[in-house]
Amino acid sequence: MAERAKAWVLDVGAPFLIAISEHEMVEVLETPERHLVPRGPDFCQHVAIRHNEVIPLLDLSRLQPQAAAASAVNPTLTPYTVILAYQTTSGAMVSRAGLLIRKAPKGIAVGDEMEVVPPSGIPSVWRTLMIACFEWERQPILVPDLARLLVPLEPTE
Amino acid sequence: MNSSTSDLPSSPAEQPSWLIFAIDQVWIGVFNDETTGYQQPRDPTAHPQGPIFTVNRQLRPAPQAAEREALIWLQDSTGRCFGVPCDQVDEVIASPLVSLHSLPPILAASDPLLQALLLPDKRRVALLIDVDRLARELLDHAQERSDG
Repeated sequence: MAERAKAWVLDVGAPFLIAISEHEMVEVLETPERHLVPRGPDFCQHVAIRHNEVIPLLDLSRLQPQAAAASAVNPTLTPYTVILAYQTTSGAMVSRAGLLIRKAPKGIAVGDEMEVVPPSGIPSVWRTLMIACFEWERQPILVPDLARLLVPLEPTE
Repeated sequence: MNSSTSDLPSSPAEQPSWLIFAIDQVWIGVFNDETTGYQQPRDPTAHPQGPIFTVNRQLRPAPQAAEREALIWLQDSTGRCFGVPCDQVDEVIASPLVSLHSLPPILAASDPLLQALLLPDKRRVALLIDVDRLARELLDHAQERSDG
């Protein structure tokens, strides 16, 4: 029997579902208090405080510029927050970030035979983040490397 | 402390470590030596210390908006003073219960105006800003407007 990995399927409000591996998931919170941080990127305008730690909250539905312009941040649309652990490089200190999601995460088992070619029409910003794609319940599930979003960029000085 | 007319205490021992001010429910923080005081906007006893810039919650220049409760005077490192109308001003005194956090990398990289986050209590997060940069942005904007 092929080896299977555990993953969590998340609805982040993108045109498709995404998945993170089991070891990335720290916890799921229901509507943690969000604090606005103005002038952050469109997809990261809020932080939450968890155990005295500042956790950036990512709204991946706003990754595409046109989506960010079209939709206001609406907490009722994203009642859950997944706190995930990530490393920007191997051996780096583990950091945490929050993903705003629309439905409770669903745990599934993923095998190699589920891998598929990503469908055409995936926005370029998602293509740069994507490290794999598999099919589950007849729909493509993207597996992003979210650390790529969270790696510090050069300041726009 | 809401909308009280006050200058900062002159004795260093009495001085708070930061002043935080709210604009449309967003708390912005500055170090104490980056302010020269706060007051009600129409306090007849107050002397203008410089130009006044109305900004929105993103700290971008905004048209004259609804009446605000307070006016905070900020001072950049060259001594230039400017006022920013705000909804509320509060003093934050350094203590073990008050924590200062570096920004998550994604936010630190997004805008050099943002410097750190101050957690004055459990319910608020204040964004510590670079007053020099804000001064430049506002003064540059004013210059552009006057140039027409």
